Amino acid sequence: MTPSFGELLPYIEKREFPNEWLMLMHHEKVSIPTIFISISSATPENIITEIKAEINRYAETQKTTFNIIETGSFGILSFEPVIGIQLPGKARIYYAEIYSNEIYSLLEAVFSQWVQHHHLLGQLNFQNTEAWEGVPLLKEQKWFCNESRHITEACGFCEPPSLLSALSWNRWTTFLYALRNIKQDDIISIIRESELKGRSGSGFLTGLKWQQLTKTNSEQSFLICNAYESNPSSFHGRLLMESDPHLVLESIAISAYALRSTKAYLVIPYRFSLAIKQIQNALKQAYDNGLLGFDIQKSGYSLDIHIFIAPGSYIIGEETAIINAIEGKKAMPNEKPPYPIQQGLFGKPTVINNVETLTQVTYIVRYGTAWFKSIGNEQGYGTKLFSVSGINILRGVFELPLGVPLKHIYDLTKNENANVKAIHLGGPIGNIFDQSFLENIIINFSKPSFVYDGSILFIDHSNCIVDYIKNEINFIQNESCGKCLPCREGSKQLYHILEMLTKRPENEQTKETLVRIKEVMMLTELSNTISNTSLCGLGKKFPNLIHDLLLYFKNEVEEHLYERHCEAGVCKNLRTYTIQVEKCTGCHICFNKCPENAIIGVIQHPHFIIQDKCTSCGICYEMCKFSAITFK
Amino acid sequence: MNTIKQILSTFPGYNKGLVIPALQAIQAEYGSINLTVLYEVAEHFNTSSEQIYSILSFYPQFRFKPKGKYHIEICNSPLCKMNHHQEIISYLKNLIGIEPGEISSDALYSLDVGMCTGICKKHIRINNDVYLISSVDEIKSILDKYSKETKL
Repeated sequence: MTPSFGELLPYIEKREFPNEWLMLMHHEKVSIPTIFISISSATPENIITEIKAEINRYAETQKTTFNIIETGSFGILSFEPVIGIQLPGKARIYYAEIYSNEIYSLLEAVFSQWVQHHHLLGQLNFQNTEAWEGVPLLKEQKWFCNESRHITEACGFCEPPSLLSALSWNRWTTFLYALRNIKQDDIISIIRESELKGRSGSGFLTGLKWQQLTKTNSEQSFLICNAYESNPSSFHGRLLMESDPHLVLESIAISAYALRSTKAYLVIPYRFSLAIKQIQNALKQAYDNGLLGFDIQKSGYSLDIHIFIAPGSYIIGEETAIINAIEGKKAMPNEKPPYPIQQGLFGKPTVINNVETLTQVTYIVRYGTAWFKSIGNEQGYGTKLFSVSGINILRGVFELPLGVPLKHIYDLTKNENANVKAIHLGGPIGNIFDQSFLENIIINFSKPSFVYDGSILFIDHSNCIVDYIKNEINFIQNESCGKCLPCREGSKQLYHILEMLTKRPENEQTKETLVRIKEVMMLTELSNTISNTSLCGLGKKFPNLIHDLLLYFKNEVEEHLYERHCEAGVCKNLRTYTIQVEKCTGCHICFNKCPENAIIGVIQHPHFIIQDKCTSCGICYEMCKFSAITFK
Repeated sequence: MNTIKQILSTFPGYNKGLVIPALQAIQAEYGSINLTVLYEVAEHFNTSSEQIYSILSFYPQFRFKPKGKYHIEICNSPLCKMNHHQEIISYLKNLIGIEPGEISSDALYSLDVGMCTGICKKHIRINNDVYLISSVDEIKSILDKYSKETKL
């Protein structure tokens, strides 16, 4: 039977569990058919409910019983919902993208010992289980990144709502061991020695930051774990919180213990409803079992972890803004110095670290500096979570060592239709590169291929880069906090100029045509002014996008500016519409709908567009039922 | 439904750091924040109503307009913007005549663009339910299902 938490305590302190119990908790040996469903934000509740209903329907018709277990996600969002099926005595077999309409036939196939190869991910074989024939091993799949999978090792296997399952994956054991056997200053010197760099983007040495805190000699200090992931193309912090919440809490506990903080804050965006639910549940379990709270396991150390649900706004990720938000003010950055390390939350020294950095701390404390330094290179040690997305790209979180070539990530994730026009690293404050960079750059803590927050977006040829950057600048314009003028007004002006670039002047004869060119010439000066005069990192860094646009995609900008042509056809206003004479039936609909009266023709005879009058609104293109209207 | 006073009583007024959680609790109870609560909240936390208003208008979570009975959310990530974001918005505009941030005149539907959910297939989110769609025309039948529910 499953032992209780109290019975497990002696094993936790030895950091070794009885093998039988581990097998039970990892479901290596099952007595009845067991189905594993991955729960993540990519699999909404109503879809999971439908899948479960179908499983129950199968169980009723076949008169069998199932054990349904909810696990976290492997991190590959393109595969969700992932279903694992394990029959007694057989290896566990995983399938991807199984929705409610497919689960019934899948169960039928598996129960008749027949392997369906459609959507097959692989099998997980244990001791004493019989492997499926002709099914690849899950851990040998390229996307699984088995060799470098460390901090996400439990994601997809561990059951987030269960403390015992987390314990079997060594969650909390490092903290309790450190509490008894490692001095606080020793942890800080271990981290200093490991040269761990902050994973949120700046790459500041975590150990150095922590040492600075100890020098302040303040009685009270705070730790803030920044899980506010506001870059829309980054989702690895969310994966950690959803699939392995106990690791996140343990990491906060170890770091707070090292810093002698008795109060720690975890900042989660309000949109991450599943992450909030899992973390709150895990926090309650930790308090109930004496892993947090007053006098933890009679060690004399007390810690409270507060969850702050951040009410949105991109800028909360900035360290002084996060302090203002927790203090109940508007999340606007302050001038530095004083740095938060000297005078932070409620005027006390405060350490702010990214959630991923803190989880790395746990692994360094557990396995030691030598292990950590064996991964990566001297620019940055250890592994990094990469959030990869793009069209025809496997979308998900991949844990790879720092110093990995970008080409490797691309090869890992592309499918046969993929192509690359541009690579966007680091979201709105990152950089955009053209495809020539794909072959020769490695992701590292050095320019040009700075790792930033680890988000990588591959943009393909069906997209217009000017339009893409216009959307990014629009995002900044909406999210700019408005405290300093260069960012607030500058982003607005940049957006205005880019919008002009993606449009045709209304009247070519007026001054507007010249203004359009003049404004594009001002782009460099404007973006330099913004980055030189802005207060915080956001305003300093987002004009990089404009620099990259003018540096790597000059041809495309010129094409928009002079030829009024968009290669990808994304900028609707720059399209030139023509009617194909052989396809046009003369139905007269486009003639009636055209707001500019730019179409001429008689019923039942081919129609024509007068290009001088056409404003490229695209109404005729949408209305034509015979696809006779094309654009270039 | 708890009154504003009951909600505020769980947040000690001396701690100004609790202003945001208190406002979040009010919004969770009522769906949106009515401007009449400003004075009550300000009095409770011993601060000015302008201060509270500046917080409310700064953060995107807080909304003054109520949500519709069926709140539709569309993903705003760069990937969705490249793929199908605009297509769904213009379809919904034709169908129910509202743009993001607006509520329909019968207070049945409201539309918002939201943060990435991680479902990168074509989908719409209505309240907490997500519907995967292969083409935008399917949205009509999904919305019909909801509007039938209201009539019954």
